[in-house]
Amino acid sequence: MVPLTHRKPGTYVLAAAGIAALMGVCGCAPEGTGAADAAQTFHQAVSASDWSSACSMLKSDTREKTAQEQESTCEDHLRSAHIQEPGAVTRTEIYGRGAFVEFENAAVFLANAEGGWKITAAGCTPNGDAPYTCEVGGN
Amino acid sequence: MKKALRNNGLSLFFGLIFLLALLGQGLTGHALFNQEQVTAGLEEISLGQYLTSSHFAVDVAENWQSEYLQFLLYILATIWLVQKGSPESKELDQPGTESDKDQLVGEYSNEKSPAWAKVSGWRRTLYSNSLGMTMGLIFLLCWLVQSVAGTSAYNEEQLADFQQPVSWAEYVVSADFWNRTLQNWQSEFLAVGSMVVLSIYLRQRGSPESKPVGAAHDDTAATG
Repeated sequence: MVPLTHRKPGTYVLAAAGIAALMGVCGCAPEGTGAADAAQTFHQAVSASDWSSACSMLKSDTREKTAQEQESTCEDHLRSAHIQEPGAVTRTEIYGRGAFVEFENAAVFLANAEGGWKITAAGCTPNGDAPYTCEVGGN
Repeated sequence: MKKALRNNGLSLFFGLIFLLALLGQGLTGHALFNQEQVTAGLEEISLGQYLTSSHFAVDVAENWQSEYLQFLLYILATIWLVQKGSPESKELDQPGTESDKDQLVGEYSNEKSPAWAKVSGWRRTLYSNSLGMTMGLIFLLCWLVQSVAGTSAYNEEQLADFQQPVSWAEYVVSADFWNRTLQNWQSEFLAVGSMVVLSIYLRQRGSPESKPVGAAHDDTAATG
């Protein structure tokens, strides 16, 4: 065993690299607040009835699916959806290219696609072990 | 140079085929992952992104941990358990950690014995168990990496299905974690058990993993 005082600096570099790699694969490395910001900006647009901006923050297939299902435009659907004031952000989790932002009253799911964080579901509430029930997007 | 290659042929051969297989796993895993991304309406990722992803890490770590566990158990079980007729076993009357004389330690060590085999105390104890401890440590580290990377990979799927992510503590008691773990363990245990039993009756001429071709079936601990 090499005494601590005689250990080469490389040992610490290796240890730091190992920890960084572990944090990288676990997805708990700090990745900025991009996902939480995107979710908050979406809710601000909804609060301001800026439906066009809110729709532009949805992932393209979520936007198309939303419009198709309601046989109307994305803007019309958001206008008629019951998206509550979410309250403050209580939790943000990012795994790979997916993110989950939980507010006091609802949650938002996001995907890192199309050049940034895009919303795949919003106005979501827990549904036991089943997928969340969402006002916009989701299953 | 030629002599060095010959003298280290076994480790070089396995080192090379390991790297080739890992490269192949990385390339095919990347292609498969991107196929699934396209199907799910998500963007493809680069090879570099895939090789540093939790998906690749969990697939690698779950296999590594089971291989190191396999050899750890083999190293430890063969101290006390014997198998009549198997070249993988010690002689039937030698179970246990054996005498200092048999193990060439302390006063029975010779000039070429490793330094810590010659001394007494914790250094000899540590060195006497260094192989098992190292294999055990690597096994635990790989299993830990599997659990951490597995949590991330599992949660990415949870989010794609609009389900709540789970914590590490929840993941390590989940069906996903234990299914990944046990499907690897069962195959390793089967392979080792088969080797122990088949080598009683079957031979591979020239291999130290086999008895000599002409050795009797009940000849234990013989290598050819």
